[in-house]
Amino acid sequence: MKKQWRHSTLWFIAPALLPVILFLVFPVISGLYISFFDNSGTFVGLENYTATLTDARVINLKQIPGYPPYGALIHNLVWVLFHLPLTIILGLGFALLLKRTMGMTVVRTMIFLGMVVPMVVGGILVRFLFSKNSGLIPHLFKALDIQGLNVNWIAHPQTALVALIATSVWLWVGYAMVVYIAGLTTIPTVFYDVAAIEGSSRTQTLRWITLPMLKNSTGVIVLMTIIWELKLFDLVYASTGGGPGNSTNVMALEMYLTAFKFNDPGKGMAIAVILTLMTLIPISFSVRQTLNPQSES
Amino acid sequence: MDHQDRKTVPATIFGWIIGILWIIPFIGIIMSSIRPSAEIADAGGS
Repeated sequence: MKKQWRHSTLWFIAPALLPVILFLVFPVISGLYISFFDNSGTFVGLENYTATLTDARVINLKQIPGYPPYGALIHNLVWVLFHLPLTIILGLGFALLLKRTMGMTVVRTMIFLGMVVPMVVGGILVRFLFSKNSGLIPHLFKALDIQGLNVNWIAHPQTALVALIATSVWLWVGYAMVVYIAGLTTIPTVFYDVAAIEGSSRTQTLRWITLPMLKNSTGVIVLMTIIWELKLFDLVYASTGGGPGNSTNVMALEMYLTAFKFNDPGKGMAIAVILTLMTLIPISFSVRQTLNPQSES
Repeated sequence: MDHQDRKTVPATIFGWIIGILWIIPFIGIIMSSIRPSAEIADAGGS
């Protein structure tokens, strides 16, 4: 009986399992396999990995504390370092602010619009926004008489990465806002009533009621944002192509360039494996939390 | 004007300012789409 159940189960899951094996498991294993070979098909062991991690295009610590390029891997980490806190702070701020705004549905839609826009369009927008001749941002600094920032931002290594991170925050913060708004609706109003009766200030209410109750929402946002930052490709590709002088390059773009432009699929796959391992770290936390929700509390 | 209104009015003004600032680049797309390409060809140039 048990054997028959297993047999039928296999047939039921086969339509879903086959595409997963064909289009996911097989390419992953194939990519892993390719990463151990050079262009001529000779097995080189971990050479592609060591070549990647010692390549100045991937890690370039000599430039720190100067301006970019720091290398694609470090750029991804810089992205996480600045993009993540800004997303959380702005997302939470907007969610709290728009709670008491008249016509809040319209304003929320305005802010969420960035999430709807394809990242390639976002990349084109960066070129317009930060262009010296037609861009809003350089003109803003010109009006403020800050001539040092009245430049074409994406043409200079000092400013290009900042421009991309700022645009990325602008496009992504709508997601954080929506998740926080959903989280805020789950907080029972009785907590706020009790806080008001006890004479709690707004800061105390935020610190001791709102923020702890939004812990799960924050967890989701942190996870999704880190994954998004690590696999970022289209925004950079459409705006700067990794330039100027490799100063905005990220791992996903470096993988593409190495495999398809520099014609080195072995090294490209090694970069893909490293990127996958980096992405698996936050995902493993999420899976552990999903499987064992009590472990965090 | 009661206590609730005193909180709502500034929040509404501030919220709308942020919303409008947020969509300025999108308005730029629309405005670019209705102008001759020669006018916007310098975008991305130095």
